[in-house]
Amino acid sequence: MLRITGKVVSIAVLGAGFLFPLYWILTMAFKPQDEWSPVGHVYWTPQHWTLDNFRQIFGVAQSTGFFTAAPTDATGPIVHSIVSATGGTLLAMAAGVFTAYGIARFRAGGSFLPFQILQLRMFPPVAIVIPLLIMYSYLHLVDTYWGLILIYGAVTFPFAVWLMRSFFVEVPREISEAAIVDGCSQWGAFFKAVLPQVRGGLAATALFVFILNWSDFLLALVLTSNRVQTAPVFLNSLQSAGAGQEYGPQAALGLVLIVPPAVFGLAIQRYLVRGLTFGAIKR
Amino acid sequence: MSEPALEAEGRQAPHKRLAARFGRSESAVAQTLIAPGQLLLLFVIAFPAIVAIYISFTGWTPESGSLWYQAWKYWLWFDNYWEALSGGAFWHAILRTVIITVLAVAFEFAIGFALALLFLKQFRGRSLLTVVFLLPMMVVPAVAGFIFYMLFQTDGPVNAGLTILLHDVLHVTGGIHIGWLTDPSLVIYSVTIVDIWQWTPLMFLILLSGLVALPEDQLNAARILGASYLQQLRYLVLPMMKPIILIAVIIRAIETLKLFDSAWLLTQGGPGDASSTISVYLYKTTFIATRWGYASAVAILVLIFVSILGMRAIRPIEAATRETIEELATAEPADEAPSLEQEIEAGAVAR
Amino acid sequence: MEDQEKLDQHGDSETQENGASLSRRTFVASAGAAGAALLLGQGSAAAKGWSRDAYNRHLGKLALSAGMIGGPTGFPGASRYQYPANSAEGRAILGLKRLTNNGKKPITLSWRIWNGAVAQLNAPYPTKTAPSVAALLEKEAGVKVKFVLDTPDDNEQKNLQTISTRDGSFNILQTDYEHNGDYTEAGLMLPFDQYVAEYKPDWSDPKYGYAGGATTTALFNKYAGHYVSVSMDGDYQVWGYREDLFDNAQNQKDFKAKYGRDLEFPKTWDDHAQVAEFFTQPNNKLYGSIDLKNPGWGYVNWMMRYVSTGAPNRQYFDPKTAKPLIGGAAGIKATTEHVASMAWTYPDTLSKSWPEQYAAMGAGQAAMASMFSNCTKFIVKGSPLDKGFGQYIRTELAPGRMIGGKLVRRPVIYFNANFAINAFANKALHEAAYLVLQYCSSGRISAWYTGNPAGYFDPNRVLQLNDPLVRASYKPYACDELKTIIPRTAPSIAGMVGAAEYTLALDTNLQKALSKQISPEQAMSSTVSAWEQITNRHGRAKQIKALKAQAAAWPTLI
Repeated sequence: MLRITGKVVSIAVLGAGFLFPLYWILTMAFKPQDEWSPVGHVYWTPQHWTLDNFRQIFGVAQSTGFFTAAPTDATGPIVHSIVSATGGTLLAMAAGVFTAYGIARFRAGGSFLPFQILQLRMFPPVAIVIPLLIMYSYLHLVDTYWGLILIYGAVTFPFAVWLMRSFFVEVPREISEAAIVDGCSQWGAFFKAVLPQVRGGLAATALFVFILNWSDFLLALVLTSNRVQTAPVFLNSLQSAGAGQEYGPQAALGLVLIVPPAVFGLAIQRYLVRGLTFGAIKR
Repeated sequence: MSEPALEAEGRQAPHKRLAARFGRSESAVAQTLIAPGQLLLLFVIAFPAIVAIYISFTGWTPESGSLWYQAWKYWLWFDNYWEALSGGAFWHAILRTVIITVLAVAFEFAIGFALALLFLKQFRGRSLLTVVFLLPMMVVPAVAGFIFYMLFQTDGPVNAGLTILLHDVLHVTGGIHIGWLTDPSLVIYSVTIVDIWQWTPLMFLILLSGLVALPEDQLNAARILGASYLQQLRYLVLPMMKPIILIAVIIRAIETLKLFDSAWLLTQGGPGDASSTISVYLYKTTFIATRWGYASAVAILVLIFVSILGMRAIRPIEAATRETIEELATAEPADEAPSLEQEIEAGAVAR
Repeated sequence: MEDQEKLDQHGDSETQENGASLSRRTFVASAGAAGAALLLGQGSAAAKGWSRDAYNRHLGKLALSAGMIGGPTGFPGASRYQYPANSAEGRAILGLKRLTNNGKKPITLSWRIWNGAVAQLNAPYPTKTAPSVAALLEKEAGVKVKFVLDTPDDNEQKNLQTISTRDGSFNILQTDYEHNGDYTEAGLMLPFDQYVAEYKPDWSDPKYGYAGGATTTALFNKYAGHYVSVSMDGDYQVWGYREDLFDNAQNQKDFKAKYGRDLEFPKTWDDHAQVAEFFTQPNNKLYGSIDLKNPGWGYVNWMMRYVSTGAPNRQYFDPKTAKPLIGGAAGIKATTEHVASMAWTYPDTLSKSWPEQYAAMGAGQAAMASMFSNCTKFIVKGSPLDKGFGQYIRTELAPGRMIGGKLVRRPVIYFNANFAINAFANKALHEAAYLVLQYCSSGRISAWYTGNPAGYFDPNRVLQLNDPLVRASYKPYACDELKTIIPRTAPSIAGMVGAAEYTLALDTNLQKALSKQISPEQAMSSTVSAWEQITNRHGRAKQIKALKAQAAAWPTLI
């Protein structure tokens, strides 16, 4: 009996602790400006629920910023996030699926290639930012969709490789061999016989990679300025020494940003462990 | 030859032809398969590394007025490297990063493990609660940083909540005004807390999957023989989970070493440098101090550091992956991994 | 809209007093034949009952006052901002007309500007039917300006990106005067001495130019003796204080009892310490002095304490040797005082910036604060910043020190919205870009838009400070005080290459001292060694030359 109460209490306490920040951003998004951060007082729940913050980030209402020209319209940045994350995902998947198959089926690149790719994940992206900027400026990729898509694809490529490899490895060799016997080339076997087997895995990997690209902050901060600024960077700009702390619109935008990863993440819940451990653990 | 014989040979011949060609075509296909990836990496990793090494030997910045390939005009030999290695800023940043990583991973493991143990046995609402505990992981790190920025304000809910606790539970007067974001000795812990909040769910998931896969019979035997819960944990569960724990810890450590988003959003690495992780330090040197030559040297040092770490870290992951592959090779192919419920039921029935 | 009506009426009466009015009678008398015919053709206005809108519409169709070749029309008092051919604005417009062939070959210029200020250039002011500056440019010269927005926080990074990518897609860049050295040496900003010589802007003009004349021009627009950027702003620091608190009888009695002298706005930094201490009552949510301390914004308050340790100034570097002067007793004293002042401000001050400071003043939570001059423009009824206490804010010169029997008070100016010609942009448009900048930074036009509460370009010339619209917006008492503040204001670290690096080194060490990680002595010695490294890297001779030229920017008025 004591054990069960202990269990319930622990779960409740931990649950409250983990949920509270989410509760806070949820309620902040519906608070009017007076209630954001009044000095010396905390509003635990909104006293006057309002949709103004959402109206602001979708450009429907005037900004509450101290200067009416300060933009809080986030529709542009949201679109930029969608485009660059999708593009980056497609690129990572395209390169990653092929590489993964090569590694899984043919041990291409030797047995060390997978781990080389894994090592890539260890490099802080900020370490290559200077040469990246130089290169991008030469190629006129700064502050463009392609610039973002390229680097997003490269940075999530290891995940795509490792995840897809773990799926390909589950496909028995016999399937491709049988296809070859039936007259397919290697490529035909790949496209017609093997790939359909990992459809679920493809979807899961794509969604997983999308979540990662969607969540990027640093690379967009460095590589974009006003043409393709993504939503997380825009979120940060709503809170600047120059504009003050616009908690309400930030919270509204934050909630909007959480939606895709939350929805996708819950959809691929089963594969999350596999994805985040590079396929090492396949639960 | 007679017709039937010819036919027979014809039927066999495709096999033979393909078999003969199998070897060559395989490697060609293999190379083609990995080519796009290699190209991507060459473009985005190899070339930048060369440029970074070149610039790291100079004192060039874009504000010098020359283009990057003319950086040799500002040649400094190893001055930048010496400055980084002998000055305090670089090592302090590394130290801070290591402290945050160790603390964060340790707590994530502890709390995640506790949660996994709590969730091991089925109870009502477990799936729903699992979703609740998964949510922090889905939050975009930049948004997580923003949420805690709001929470950690001196006039914010965390301090207000602690004050209420102080008053109502402990009946002590006085307010709590902890400077989570402004006290230089505390900011590291604030950053750590954000990381713990966001990634404990991951540890929880991984450890839970490991616990569920543990062989029931050994645990049962131990219980029958009189081992207590703690003894089971210490002598059976943890050793059996070792590969999984190792993978989880290493992977989280790798990702935490790169920490930027929350440190930047909470305090911009401040006050002063008090919460500058190595990524934040690099960012500030590049974009605020605009010392690109020096920043490139620091970046190269970081890459070397990380490569060494990486090679040590790869081994356990390698080993664990080989294990799982072997398991798969010997195990029967399953259509779908059994759900938690099914496994527990199976275990219950067996018991 | 209450303010608008008041403004209009105010403007109306003022213009009638001046006689340069747009009343129907004087209009007919002064306008050209064409204008008269227009008006007469429309029928007698007197016969019609005019509503305000109709009146404004009518005004909008009016021509200009006599002798004027351009300028806004359509609101009371517009004639103040109209200009003849022989003026900085006139020369600029005529130059632009020549370049666009009288509007037949329109030019489009791209202008990167802070989002908090752009409304002063592209929103109609002071009435909805009035033109905006940008609209006027387009109408008079055929020059269309496309504004691209960014924020003060991003601006350095954006400019760095522009330099490293040699981005020529903007013609006019936003910068601040502290970066004049860095960006010119980096090849980003194009020096334009030749255009200044040809088109003669009015920046140093005694009537239409910057308050402080040539000194201010040297401060804002020049580097190493060359013209490199154009200031349209005045980030002068005023010390705001709560008149009601200082005038309160009980407070006066208590202060006198405690410190033995009368309660008044402090003249010296020692006085300031006492007054701030007196007004710091955290239990009542009142703080004595909430001048900024956060990274990137708070260092100016250290500078005020430092520069006033010498008469007429104590500079940051020795102009003869480029060696730092801050490592001595004066620098340590300034740092110690700066650190001590943390006791009189709200918690989390290291992470709060000026919007929060303004909100605190407006909510009645502070007695004194060093703020931008637009504090009296923004902390007003109707703004979310004001909770009723904005009306009590008055402004004063910064406290100073008694040196040789004289009271040396040195406010310091930093940031400041300056604009420059992007050297990487299309060369054929450089001259047009310059002319647009000359136009927007000349006396009458800047007097026109400065009053606009929608943006934060602040006054920098006496003409603006005397302008009725500006006075109504910034408050007459604040405008008069600015006339004493501007000529006594010292520069921050500017006019030399590496200014941003020097400032960052100072700022980082100040942050560490403020958060008690290091002592004031350590902070100063750390900064000195960092500064020496920077100087050696850029070349001491170059810095000495720049410091010599920068001497013209330091004030001598005590």
